Amino acid sequence: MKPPTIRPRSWTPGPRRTKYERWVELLEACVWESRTQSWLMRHLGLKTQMIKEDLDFLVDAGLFEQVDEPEAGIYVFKTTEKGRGALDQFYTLVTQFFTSGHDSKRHAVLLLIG
Amino acid sequence: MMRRSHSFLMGHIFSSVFGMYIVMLWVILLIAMMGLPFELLSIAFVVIIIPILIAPLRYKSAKNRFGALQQAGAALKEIEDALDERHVVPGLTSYIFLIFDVLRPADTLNDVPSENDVEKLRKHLTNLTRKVIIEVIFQGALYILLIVNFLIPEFLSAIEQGTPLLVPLVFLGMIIVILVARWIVFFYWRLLARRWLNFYQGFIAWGEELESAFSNPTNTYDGREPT
Repeated sequence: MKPPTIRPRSWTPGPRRTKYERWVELLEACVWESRTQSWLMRHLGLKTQMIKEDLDFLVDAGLFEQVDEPEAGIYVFKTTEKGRGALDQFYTLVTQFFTSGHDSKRHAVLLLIG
Repeated sequence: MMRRSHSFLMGHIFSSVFGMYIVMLWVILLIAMMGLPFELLSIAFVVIIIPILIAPLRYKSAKNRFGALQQAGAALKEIEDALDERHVVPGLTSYIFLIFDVLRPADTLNDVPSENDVEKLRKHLTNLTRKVIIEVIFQGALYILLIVNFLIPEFLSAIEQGTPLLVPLVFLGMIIVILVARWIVFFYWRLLARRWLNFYQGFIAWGEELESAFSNPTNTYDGREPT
């Protein structure tokens, strides 16, 4: 399968993202290609302190790997197999949610009459 | 589900738009009431002017809501474009988080979500339901007053004088349609919001599992016990 190219977004991410939401976005952004810290900051709309904390956690937890040694302040990150596993779990959650809504009409009727 | 999630956002937006429609309805009623005696007209003016005065206060919230819909539209377009080309859709995750953002009450800026926060969101939803019920009952009471004091006398005089009943009938129709539509849109939105909350609960469990795995690095996230 051809890896997707993550393009810069035409819309801004929500300003009130939780750290769990930021982790998913970081894992997803680096799953196909290695990304620099500045690329991640620019495209995910994260501040320096915030991204440092998130990257520290993801690297320490083994979900991210630093592909190159830091050279002149440039850091390149990639999602590890362990990180892909975590992302898979998230996608399973999403898939379950998007495929298990067939009984909502019955619930709507119950709510309206109840 | 994608269409339903967009309906959810539309419902979120329309709860604000309905407010504007209600103001418009009052304005239309004002024009129709011009033939009333002066005392009743003065009361009608006071009743009508209140929602018009409140309208500017709703501007900021309406603007934010329309902004969210605009962003969601751009994200959906991005997702649709991606669906034509590939199986993995990167924009979907961000779209989901945008829905989370819409769900959160404005005063919850906590960095770390927890089970407790889901409860807070549920409580927020219950409070919102209560507010809408009160609002609809209040609007309904005002409409009943208008029907009894204005539309019914208009009906009777129209029947006595043999004039057409089209205008009062249009008003009655509008009142009923707006009230019923308000209820349906709100309860559909509420149903979808509750589904998103369940998903959010699952997402928090996912995040907490990641955090706990940090203290147990042998966990491989493949669903099996570490060896």
